[in-house]
Amino acid sequence: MRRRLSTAVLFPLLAVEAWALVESPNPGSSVTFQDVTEQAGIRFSHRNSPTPKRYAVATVGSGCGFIDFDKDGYQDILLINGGWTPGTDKNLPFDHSLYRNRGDGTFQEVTTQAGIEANQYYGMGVAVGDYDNDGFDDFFITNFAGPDLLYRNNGDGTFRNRSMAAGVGGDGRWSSSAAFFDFDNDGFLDLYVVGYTDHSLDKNNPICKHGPIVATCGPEAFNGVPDVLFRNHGDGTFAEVGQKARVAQFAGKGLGVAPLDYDRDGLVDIYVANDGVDNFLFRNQGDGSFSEVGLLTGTALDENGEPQAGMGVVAGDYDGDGLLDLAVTNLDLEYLALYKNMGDGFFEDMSSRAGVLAPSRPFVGFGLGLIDVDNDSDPDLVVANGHIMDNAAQLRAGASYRQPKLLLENVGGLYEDVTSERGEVLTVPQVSRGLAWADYDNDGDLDVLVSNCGGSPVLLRNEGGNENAWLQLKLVGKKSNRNGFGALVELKFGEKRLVSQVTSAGSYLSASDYRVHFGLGEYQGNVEITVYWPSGIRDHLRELQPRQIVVVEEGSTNHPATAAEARVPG
Amino acid sequence: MLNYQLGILYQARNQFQKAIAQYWKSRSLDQDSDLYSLALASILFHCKQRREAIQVLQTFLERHPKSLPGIRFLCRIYIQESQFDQALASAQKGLVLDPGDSYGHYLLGISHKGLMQFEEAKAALEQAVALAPSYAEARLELGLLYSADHKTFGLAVENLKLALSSGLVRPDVHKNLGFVFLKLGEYEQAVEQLELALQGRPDYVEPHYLLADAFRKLGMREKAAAALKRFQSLRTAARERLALENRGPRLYAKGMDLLSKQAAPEQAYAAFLQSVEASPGMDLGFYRLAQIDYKRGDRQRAADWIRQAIQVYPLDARYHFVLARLLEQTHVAGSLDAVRTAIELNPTNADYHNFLGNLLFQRDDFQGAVQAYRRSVEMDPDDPIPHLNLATTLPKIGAAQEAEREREIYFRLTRGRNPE
Repeated sequence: MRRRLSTAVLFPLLAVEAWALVESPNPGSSVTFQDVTEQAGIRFSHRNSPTPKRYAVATVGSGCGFIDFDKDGYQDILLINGGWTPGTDKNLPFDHSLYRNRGDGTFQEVTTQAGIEANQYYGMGVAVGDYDNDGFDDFFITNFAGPDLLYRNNGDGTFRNRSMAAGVGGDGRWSSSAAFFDFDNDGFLDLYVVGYTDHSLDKNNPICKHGPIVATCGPEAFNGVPDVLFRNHGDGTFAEVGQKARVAQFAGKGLGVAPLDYDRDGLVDIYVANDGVDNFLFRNQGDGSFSEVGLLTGTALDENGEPQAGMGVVAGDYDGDGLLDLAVTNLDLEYLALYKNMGDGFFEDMSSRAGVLAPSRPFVGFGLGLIDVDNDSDPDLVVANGHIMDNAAQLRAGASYRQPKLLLENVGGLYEDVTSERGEVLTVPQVSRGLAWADYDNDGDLDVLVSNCGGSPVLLRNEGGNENAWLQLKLVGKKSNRNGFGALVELKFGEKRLVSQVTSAGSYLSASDYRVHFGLGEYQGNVEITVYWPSGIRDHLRELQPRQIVVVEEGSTNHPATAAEARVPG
Repeated sequence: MLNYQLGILYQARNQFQKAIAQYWKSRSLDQDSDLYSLALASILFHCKQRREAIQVLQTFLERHPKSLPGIRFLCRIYIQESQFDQALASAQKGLVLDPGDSYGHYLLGISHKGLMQFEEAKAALEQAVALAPSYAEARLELGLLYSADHKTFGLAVENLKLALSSGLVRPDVHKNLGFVFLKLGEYEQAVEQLELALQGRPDYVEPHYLLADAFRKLGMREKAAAALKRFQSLRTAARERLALENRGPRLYAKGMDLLSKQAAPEQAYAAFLQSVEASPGMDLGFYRLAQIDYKRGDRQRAADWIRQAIQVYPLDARYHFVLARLLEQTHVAGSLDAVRTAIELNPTNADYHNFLGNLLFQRDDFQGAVQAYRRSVEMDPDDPIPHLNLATTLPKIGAAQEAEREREIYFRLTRGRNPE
């Protein structure tokens, strides 16, 4: 591969920023991940408060997220902490942590300065989005047995808890993953909060046993709870519209959520990974309501017609056909389910045919990313694994609580397990849960952050991914929501066409860098981009040079949408 | 030999309690016979007494470590119990004795599969079919393993077809073959196999789901919709059935949870009561009710509950022993019958023999009591109580010197022990 510098190109009609001038590493070296947690200055440790009673909450872990809260162009890190369980020390600190990216590869802990309150609950997940369209990203924390929290970014490096004022605190049910998305395309981000089960520490709190051995209760020990949908009024407040939108009629046992426009009708749908029961695919009907089509579309069950233990979910176009597919993590002896979008309203479970089933079967998967780590223009799969039973080995020979991660490289739509070749850190067994991705050092390749249950997170820096060409886009909505969430971005280069949808959601309890990242392989020429905004506006950008981060403002190419264009061509 | 043959006779008549008693007798008369030990382990395994079956086999294998039938059977039970690491060790031991044993390689493959060592499992099963090409179960397992990877779908088809042609004509084999054809895009063949699966078992849920997919891909939308509808209705019915079946066990688990939390026993009692009402076949529920009533001092009621547990599952020696204990003061003859049944079902429990000794002592049957205490000592030489009982009883049959020895053993065993 040719050694080259990334370049900043000023495109006449666009605001273009180049945040990084990065020299590529040695030619010919392949991608590896390096554990840079310590050198980056991340000292966080997750407390899950395990006890011999093995409460379910102590094993589900908490998430992690990337958020550029100070708008300096570098992704900062948010780490969610757990909480107290009966029989453990209530006085220990369970605080979340916000780390500011200094831009030099290190981070500074700024939790207190940023006004993030001491954690009084048991933290679960995080969602990131600019709900008030002020240009500064806010975040939402889900909790177990406590109200969820919405932190508004004040724009001066601090946040303020606006949960009560905004009306999104919820009713204290067990919330897991959450996603900001604009389901009614009114330009304001709505909020989807996934409900897990009706379990709390003071009710429905059984002790489960496998023979004489106390083991963490599985989802079958509890009833599921419906998810919650908050509609953004646009004035800083939200209304709970789950019933009206016909999502609250379904009580799943949800852990993961991914917004995606699977049928390319310009409306964002919602996929929910449920634990032990059918997964949901809520098709957005465009009238403020959704229709649950999981079974009909082939995304509710595994390839034999059995429900799996859905944990995390991510959407992306794994096979380059321009349609968004789904990947869902599950238990060991199940498998990572890869649902290919057939474009006719159906999905097909390609797990065995795409080579995903066999390598994923020994592991309990949680967070995952469908991201192009080697920039060869097709998304790879990165999975955070770890058993749910801390005494797994005692319960089943061959099982282990700590498990390695999984990196499956996409080779023309078929996946190959390259975990052991892509950095020793990936093979280190851990109890991993959340997984988020971002190009935190703006060097042109995607890095990965993994949260571990009862342990320290790991920041995995991608080394060598930027040997191949790349392009990143940050969308700025004007008529659409400010983040551009839900916009479809289509990139053309040579004979290839890549598609990505803007979102910070997906994976498990985590939020990722929502800048759209495209790997371009060895392609040296210019590329063409089309952005299909949720508002219906379409922006078309030609002659873009690779290896830069481009900011695209909605409507900046002055290409007004016609009614026909507002529907994205499949 | 007579006991063994009687055992077979009773077993053939489904009189398992009597059969178990006879097999125990035959085994105690000749502990070196693999025939007797395996027959006993087999019936215990059949009667859901897997732990006891494992104990019998382990004891036998301690004396005869090179008994291939014993090793194989133990391996099979470990597999059934999902103790795959122990199964693997047994399978490996067996193959050292006979490397050319196709069944041994099959067991090795299943053990590896249970340990999620899929490549090793394939290798072992390939070895099994190399030794016995018509080994249908091994072909099925290979077919299942190969169907997990697109690179080996062809091998999956080959092995599943061979499983069928080798005599394993079962709905699940047809279903799995249909599944692989579906993955290969051979939809007509998939439909054929899935329909064969449903011919054998019309209420088989999964083939309907696969059929819906196959029909849809063949453009037969109406048939696809009908298959999906059938799938949904069968699934709902199965789910409801399962919920009903699980109601008793769930309530039982709730009761156990309350017991372990040492909450008010009334709450646990209510849960157990509900569990046996929901599932009258829940012998464990009756057993727990008896336990709580016994603790409350209501022996009569406890005896009634344990009788119900016995009615549901008469082969559990524990239930008979509990009944014996409950009748001890009020109905000695009934108590004797119950403890003798417990001993017939499990003659290796030292407590049962000791208790029998106590009952016989009460009836002035000192000879019988001594014999029972001696059995108890034989089963558990480190328990001081039967030694003390022997020390007390032996003088009554004129064995004062022996009694003194037993007393010394008792003191030696209790020395340094907390009197509590």
